[in-house]
Amino acid sequence: MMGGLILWAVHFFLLYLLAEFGGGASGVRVAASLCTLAILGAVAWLGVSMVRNVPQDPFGRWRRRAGLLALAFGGLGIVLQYLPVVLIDR
Amino acid sequence: MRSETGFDPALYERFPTKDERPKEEEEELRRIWCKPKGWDYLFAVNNNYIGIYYLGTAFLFFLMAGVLALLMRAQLAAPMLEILPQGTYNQVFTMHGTVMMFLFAVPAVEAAGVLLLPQMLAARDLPFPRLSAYAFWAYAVGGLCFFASIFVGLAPDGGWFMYPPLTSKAYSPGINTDFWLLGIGFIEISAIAGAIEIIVGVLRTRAPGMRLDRMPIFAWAMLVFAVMIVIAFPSIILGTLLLEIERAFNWPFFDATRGGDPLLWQHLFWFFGHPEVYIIFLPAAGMMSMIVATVAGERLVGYRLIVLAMIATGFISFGVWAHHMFTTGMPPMTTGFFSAASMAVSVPAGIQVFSWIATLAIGKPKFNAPGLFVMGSIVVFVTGGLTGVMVAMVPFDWQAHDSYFIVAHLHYVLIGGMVFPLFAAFYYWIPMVSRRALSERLAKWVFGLMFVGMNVAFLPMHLAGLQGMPRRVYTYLPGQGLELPNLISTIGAFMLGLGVLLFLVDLARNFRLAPGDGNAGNVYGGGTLEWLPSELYSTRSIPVVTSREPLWNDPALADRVEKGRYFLPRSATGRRETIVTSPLLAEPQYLQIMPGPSPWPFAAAIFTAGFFLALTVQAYLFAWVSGVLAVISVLRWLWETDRPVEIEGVDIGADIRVPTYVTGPSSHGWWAMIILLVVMGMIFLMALFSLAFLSSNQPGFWRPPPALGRAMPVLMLYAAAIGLALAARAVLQRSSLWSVTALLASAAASGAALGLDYSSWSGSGIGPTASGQGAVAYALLALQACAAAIGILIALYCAARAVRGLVAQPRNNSIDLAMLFLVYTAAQGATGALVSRLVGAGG
Repeated sequence: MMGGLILWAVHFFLLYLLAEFGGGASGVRVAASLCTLAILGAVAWLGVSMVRNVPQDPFGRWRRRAGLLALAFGGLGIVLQYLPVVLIDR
Repeated sequence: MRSETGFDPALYERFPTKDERPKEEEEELRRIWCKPKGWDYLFAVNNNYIGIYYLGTAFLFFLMAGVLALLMRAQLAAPMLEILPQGTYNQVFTMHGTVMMFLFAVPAVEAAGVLLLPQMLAARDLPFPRLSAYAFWAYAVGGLCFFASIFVGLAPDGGWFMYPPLTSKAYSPGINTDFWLLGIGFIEISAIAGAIEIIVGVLRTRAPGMRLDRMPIFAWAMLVFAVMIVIAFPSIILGTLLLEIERAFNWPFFDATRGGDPLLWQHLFWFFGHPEVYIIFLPAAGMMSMIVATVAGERLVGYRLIVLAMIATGFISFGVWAHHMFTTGMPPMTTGFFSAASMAVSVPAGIQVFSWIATLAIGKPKFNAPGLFVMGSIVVFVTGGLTGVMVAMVPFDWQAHDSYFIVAHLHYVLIGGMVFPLFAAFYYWIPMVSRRALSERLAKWVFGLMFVGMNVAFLPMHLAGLQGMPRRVYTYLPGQGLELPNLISTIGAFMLGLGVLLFLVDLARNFRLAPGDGNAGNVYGGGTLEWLPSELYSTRSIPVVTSREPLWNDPALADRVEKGRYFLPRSATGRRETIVTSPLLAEPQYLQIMPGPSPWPFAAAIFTAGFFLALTVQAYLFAWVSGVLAVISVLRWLWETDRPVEIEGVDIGADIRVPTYVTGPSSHGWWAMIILLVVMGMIFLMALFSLAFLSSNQPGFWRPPPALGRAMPVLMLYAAAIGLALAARAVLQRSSLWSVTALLASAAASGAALGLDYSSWSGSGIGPTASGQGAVAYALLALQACAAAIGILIALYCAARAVRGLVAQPRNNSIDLAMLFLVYTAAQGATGALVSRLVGAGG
C-alpha cells in the first residue's frame, strides 16, 4: 500500500545525498538521472504486479486501490523531484 | 475472507448473543475500574483521567503562551514603546514560540488521542496505561518548571529554534539556554512515550472486526502522527544533547572555527521542526474529518484518499526541512529538491481540504459551534497554505525570510490547521465527557471574536513583512509605514484573546465531569464508537465492527452493547483487561491483563524532572540522586507488569477462548520495544549524519581516524554479544538461569567492545574537544555507552526476576524484550565502530 511513497522517499534521499555529498555537478546529474530511471522502473514494476494481482477479499481490494493511488502519487512526485536536476544549470 | 491470525471470522456471527447478562457483571466492572479517591487521583492511570489531565494542562500552557503573545503585541502597538525591555522581550517571544509548539500543540493532540482513542476503538484502555501516566506527569512537571524560568529572568532568549552560534556559551553564557535544551529534551521523551502508546494502541487494541479500512479517520491521523514523532523527534533530542554537551564540555559540534558547523544544528533542528508542523496538523485534520462528516450529516467523501493523503503528508514532510535554510547558501540543486518537495506537500493537504468541502457540499451542514469552527478553519488554513506555496519558491523566500510575512504565514497555518480544529473538537467532544454541550449562543461569540480577531491580527503582518519589518525585534522606528499594520495587529490579537476568554467563561459555566448512566452525550449525532454509552471501563461490551460509522448503520447497536451482548461483557480474569487484536484485520488474539493505578509512574516522572532540572542549575549531586531514584521507580513499576500467568485461556464472549499471555511478535510489548529501538536507531542515524556532514563541510579539520583493522576485535565482541542475546531466548526452554546468564554475558560483551573502541579512539590522538570530528566520534561512543549501560541494567533486572522465580518458561516477555534490546545495542555499536572509521578515512 505504501510502496509508491516509500519509493518517493528513497529517491528523494538519494538525490539529496548525491547533491550534498556527491562532489561535481555533472557527475551528480548523471547519477541522479540513473537513480531516477531505476526508481521509476521500480514504480512501473510494482504497478504492473498490483494491476495483475487482484485480491478476493474486500480489505485486500481496498489496500490494492490505495496502493495504486499511492504509486501514481509517488511516481508523479519522483518526476517532480527530478526536475531540479534538469532545470538548474549550476 | 482470508484470516490474518487463523481466527475464523464466522465466529463473529455468534454476536449479538441472546442471553441476558447478570447485573453483577457490570458492578464488578465498576469495582475493578473504580474512581480514585483523594491522593489516588495522582496515581490514576486510566485514559479517562490521564486524557483530561493532559488536555487541561496543554490548554493551561496555551493560555499562558497566549498571555505572552498579548504582551508582545502591546509592546509592538506603537513605535519605540518600552512596555517590555529588550532582553525581556527576547525571553517572551522565545517562550511564546517554544511553549506553543512544545508544551501546547503536540501535547494537546497527544492528549486528545489518549482521551478519545480507547473510546473510538472500543478498547477498555490504551495498552500501556502507566506509560501514559508517566508521559503526562513528565510533561506537566517538566513543562511547569520550564515555564517558571520566565518569572526569575532565566527563560531562554535565543528564539524557539535556538540557532548557534547565538546560543553557544560565548554568546549566551547564562543558564537560560540550558533551560531550553534540557527542558525540551526531557519533554520530547514524554512525547515519544505517548507516541509508542498510541501506535501500539491503534494497531493492537481495536474492536474485533475494525479492519484498517473501517478505522475512524482520527485513529489513522493519530497513527501517522505517532509514527512521525518516532521518526522526527530523535533528531531534536540528539541536537539538544550535542548543543548542551558543547556548552558544558566544550565539544565543538557547531563551532566553525574548530571543525564544527552551525548549519549542522539547523539540519538537526529542522529535520524535526518542519515535520512538527504536520505532526500538529494531521491529528487536527483527523478531528476535522470526523467533525465535518457529523456536521454535514454525510459520510466523509474520499475516505481512502484522505488516508492516503495523510500518509503521503507524513512521508513528504520529511523532505522539506531545508526549506527553512534557503538563505544559508546551500547548493542550488539542493534548494531545488527542497523547493519541489515543499510544493508537493501541498497536494495531499489540498486533497483533505477538497474532501471536507465536498462532504459539506453534498450534505446539509449545520452552523452549530463545531460547524462554525470547522468552516473557519478551512478558510484560515487555505490562506496559510497559499502563502506556504509562495515561500516554497526560493527567490520569494529570499525576500520574505525572517520577516513578519513568515510570522503571518505560520500563524495562519497553525491557527487554521490546529487551533480552530481543536476548538471545534472541544465543542464536539466535550459532551462525551460532561454529557451536555457548551452554550451555542456563547460559541457564536467565541467563534466570531476568534475568527475576526485572528484575521485582523495576522493579515496586516503580511504587509508589515513585505515592507521590511524583521521578526524578533522589540520595537521599530516611526515613519516607516509600520505603525498602522502593527496597531491593527495588536487590536486583532486582543480580540482573539477576548474570544478565548469567553470560551473559558463558557467552560467554567457548563463543564462538569459527569457519570455515564447510559447517556453517551451524543448531542451532534456522531456515528463512531466513542458515542456509545461508556463508563470508566469504556463500553459495557466490545462490539463487532462491520462499518466505519457503526452507529449510523445500526442505531440499535448502543442498546445491545449496553446489555453486554458482545465481546467481554464481564471481567474474565477479575482484573483490568482489554482484547488485543491483529494489526490489519483486528482479529482477537489474546486478552491483555492491564496494570492498574500505581504511584511509581508518578514518582518516576518527578525524579526524572528533578534529574533534568538539577542538571540545568548545575546541582550535580542532586541530579545523580534524582536519576538513580527515577531508574528505581521505573524498575519498580515494571516489576508488576510481567506477572506469571495464572489463567491460560479465557472466554471473551460467546465461548470464544483466547490466551491471557503471549510472547514474541504477537505481544504488544514486543511492538513497543521495536518502536523504542526505532527511536534509538533514529538518534544514532542522525549522529552518523552529523559525522558525514562535518566531514563533507569541514574537510580541513579532518584527521585520519583509527585504522579499520583495529576495529576487528571490537566487531567480534559485538558479534558475540548478538549471539549470546539470541541464545538467551533459545535456552529459556531449558533453564531460566542459563538464559539470564547469557543475557548478562551479552551485556558484558557489548561493554567490553565499547571499552576497546574507546581505547582505540583515545590512542589515535583525536580528542573530543580538538575538532568537530573528535566531538562527533566521541558523541557516538557516548550514545553507545548509554545503550550499553541500559543493556546491563536490563540484564540485571532479568537476573533479579529469575532469582525471584518470575521468569516463566518456555517463553517470557521480559527475556524477549531484553534480547531485542541487547541485539540492537550490539548492532548499533558495530555500525558505529565501522562508520566512524570509514567516514573521511580517505582524506
